[in-house]
Amino acid sequence: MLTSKLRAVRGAAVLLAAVLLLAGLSVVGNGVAMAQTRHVLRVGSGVADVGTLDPHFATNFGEYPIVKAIFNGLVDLPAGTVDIERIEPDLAERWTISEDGRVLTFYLRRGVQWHHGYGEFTSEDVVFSFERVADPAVGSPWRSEVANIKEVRALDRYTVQIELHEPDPFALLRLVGYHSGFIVSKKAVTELGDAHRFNPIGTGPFAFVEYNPRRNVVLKANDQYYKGAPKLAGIEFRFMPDTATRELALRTREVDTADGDSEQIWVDRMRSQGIVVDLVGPGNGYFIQYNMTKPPFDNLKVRQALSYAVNRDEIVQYLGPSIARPLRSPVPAGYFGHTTEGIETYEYNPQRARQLLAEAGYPNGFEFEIYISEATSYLPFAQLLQEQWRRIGVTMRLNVIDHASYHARIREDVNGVIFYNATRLPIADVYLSQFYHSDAIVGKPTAITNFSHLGDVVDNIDALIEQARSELNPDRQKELYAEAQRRIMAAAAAMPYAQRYSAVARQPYVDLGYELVGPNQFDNLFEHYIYNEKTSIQR
Amino acid sequence: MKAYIARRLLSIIPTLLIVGSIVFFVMRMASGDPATAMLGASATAESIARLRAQLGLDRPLVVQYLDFLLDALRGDFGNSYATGRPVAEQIFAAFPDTLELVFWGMLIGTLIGVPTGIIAAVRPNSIFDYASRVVALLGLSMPPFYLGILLLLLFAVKLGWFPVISTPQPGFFGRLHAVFLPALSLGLVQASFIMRSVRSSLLEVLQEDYIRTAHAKGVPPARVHYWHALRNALIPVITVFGLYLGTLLAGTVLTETVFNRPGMGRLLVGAIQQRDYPLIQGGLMIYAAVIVVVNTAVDILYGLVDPTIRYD
Repeated sequence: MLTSKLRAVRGAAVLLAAVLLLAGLSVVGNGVAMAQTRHVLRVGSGVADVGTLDPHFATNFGEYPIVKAIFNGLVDLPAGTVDIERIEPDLAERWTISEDGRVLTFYLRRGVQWHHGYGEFTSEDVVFSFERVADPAVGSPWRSEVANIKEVRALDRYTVQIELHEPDPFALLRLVGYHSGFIVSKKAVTELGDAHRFNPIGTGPFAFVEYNPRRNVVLKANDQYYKGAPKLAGIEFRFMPDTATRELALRTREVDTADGDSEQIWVDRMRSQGIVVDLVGPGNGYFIQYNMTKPPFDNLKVRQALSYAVNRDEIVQYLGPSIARPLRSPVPAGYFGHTTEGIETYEYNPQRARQLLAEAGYPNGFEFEIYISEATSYLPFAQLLQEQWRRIGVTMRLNVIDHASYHARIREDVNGVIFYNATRLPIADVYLSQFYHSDAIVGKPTAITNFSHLGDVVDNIDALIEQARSELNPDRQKELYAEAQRRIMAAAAAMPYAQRYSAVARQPYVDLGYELVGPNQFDNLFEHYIYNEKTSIQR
Repeated sequence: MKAYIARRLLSIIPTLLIVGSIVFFVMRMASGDPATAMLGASATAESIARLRAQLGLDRPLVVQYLDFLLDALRGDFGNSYATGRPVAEQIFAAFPDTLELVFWGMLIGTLIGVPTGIIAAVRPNSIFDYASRVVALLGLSMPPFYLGILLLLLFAVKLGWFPVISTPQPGFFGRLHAVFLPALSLGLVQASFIMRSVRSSLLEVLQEDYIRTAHAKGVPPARVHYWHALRNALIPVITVFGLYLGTLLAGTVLTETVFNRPGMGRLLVGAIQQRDYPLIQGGLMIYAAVIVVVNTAVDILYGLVDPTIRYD
């Protein structure tokens, strides 16, 4: 029996709900009110937040496209490509390279202004920027990328000379606006100090306006931009770590572009709703390294057996045919120097795997346990290999931990098998130096990510990598890289199995202002869309 | 009473130090390193070691702990490793958004949960009772973030009434509009908890002798139910309110992610992924403080609802 008081309570609840609902409806559509000729592009960025907007410190996945819109390098790659043969002028109008390949002279563009009244860009800023990245006290994570720079000299206000320790055929590529190559304002960095971290002053098409933690970064058009005023009024990067939310926001047009989910089902679903999905690369290389100091992985036959038991087609099938392809070499396809010619690629052969295991003294297989990250780019691959290895009698137990812990544990050298995936500057040198040079072996002060101990316990390809690094003849250089890849695979130090592209999505009315080269080419280094002065919204 | 409140509030200080200490050691026991997280995978061991020294992480654990304790006693949570900004500033920027979400979530939960629980208890084993219990069971089993995605699909994508991105907008109505869906997803789950507590508590009270006596002497049923019974039934319900606050705060973590609100939940998840020790310690200590304060308030409320309770 409902009494009057109860009715009153219920009535109040209904009334409140109605008020809330009306309040909601009254503000629906506010977002549409800003219809102007120049639109603000809203980007659904797949990160929860950024840690810095200083280009010499930006390492986080979501920081690159923001930094790239604010800053320039001396030179740049053509928009939408990673075509290392066609490096373009940017802050430098032109350049010359000495015959011995050690001295690069850059003639700077005149009259380029720093954002927010920080004056004219000059050679002083260039010298300051490279010295800043190289200074150990500054602590830039990209310091190793400028290790080959001996000196940077300002010849006059608009001329800069960069002298290298060793000739480097990729010296220009290392100077593009990417990580260490971005030029910062000497005056701004000196005056702002720590505050520069969230008050970046650049020369690029968009100037920084505001940063709201975990919410957004707002940029506005730099109408004085030397390549022309941007077609967009500005860009808002919204931090949206949840894939489902980004997808829904893109569908309701609350964002115009969004970082996607690199899964076939996601790509197909978005495309079926009229949303453009682009697959950008150079693509993440997926591989395992065997820790050759730990039994039974110190036994070549065991490593070969495990490699023969990996079925790459099955893994690519899992990822989706338009997202991934098999990887057969320690250097991903599309990177300068990549080859599969003359390489032992360990094509799937379970009989051979069983035979090798028996020869190694494990006719009934063996068991081992590893730590593995819970991240979706790690755990499913470990599970796939777990199942594939089970078929030859090898049991891999997985101890699942969070991603940060995983990175710490593998650097403590605890795993016998290390799962890894990485995108790097697309030249063989970077991959080989970080993953296969003996300096990079975990545990050393110079350690990066060589988990296999290749170079200390089995073979050593340091000389090949170093020789290739300063080899100016591209054909000879490719031969050296090919030899390095052959020896890594002959030692079965690693088993590369897949290469996966990043999916990014946009409403069809977003015109990037450049063409993305198809997924079988390099697209861009950033695994995101890059927004420049030509990017526009066509509505 | 005043002495009691003062004592309870003072007890916050040791509670916070204990919570802070537990967090301090648990975070350091979990492997993972702030310097590696900040510098990325390509950094060399040398540069990681240099950053660790800059952050003071190379000092003996005891020294780090004493430093943390002394700073915490002064109310200084330090600076976040990841952003370099003061932890207190980041927490105070994020907390209002989370409090707003918790407030509306609790309100919606109460407005739905209490009346439903009452009707179910007053008419036990009726169709309404069964239906509300089944719905409550669904609510209890459904994680708020999943419910959140379903609500987004219906109200934001299909109907277009609310935004997918529930970031607070300027103005009271802007905020209300943005908070409605996330609060509803928290509130609906909360309502299930509250409904079940109200129902079982009221059912028990309705069996008491004094209720039968009240009916026997001809007090109108409504007055018996809502004056005599409900007041007594609310005592255990108020207790669980305090306890639910913890669940609700935990629920905001995923709700804020799904609805893209920049509150404390997202702040802490990011901090844990980045191993941003000062931010994790500060954030969890604030959570602990809120839970202690609210539970103190709940204890005080007892006195108001139940005059037999005395505070000495």
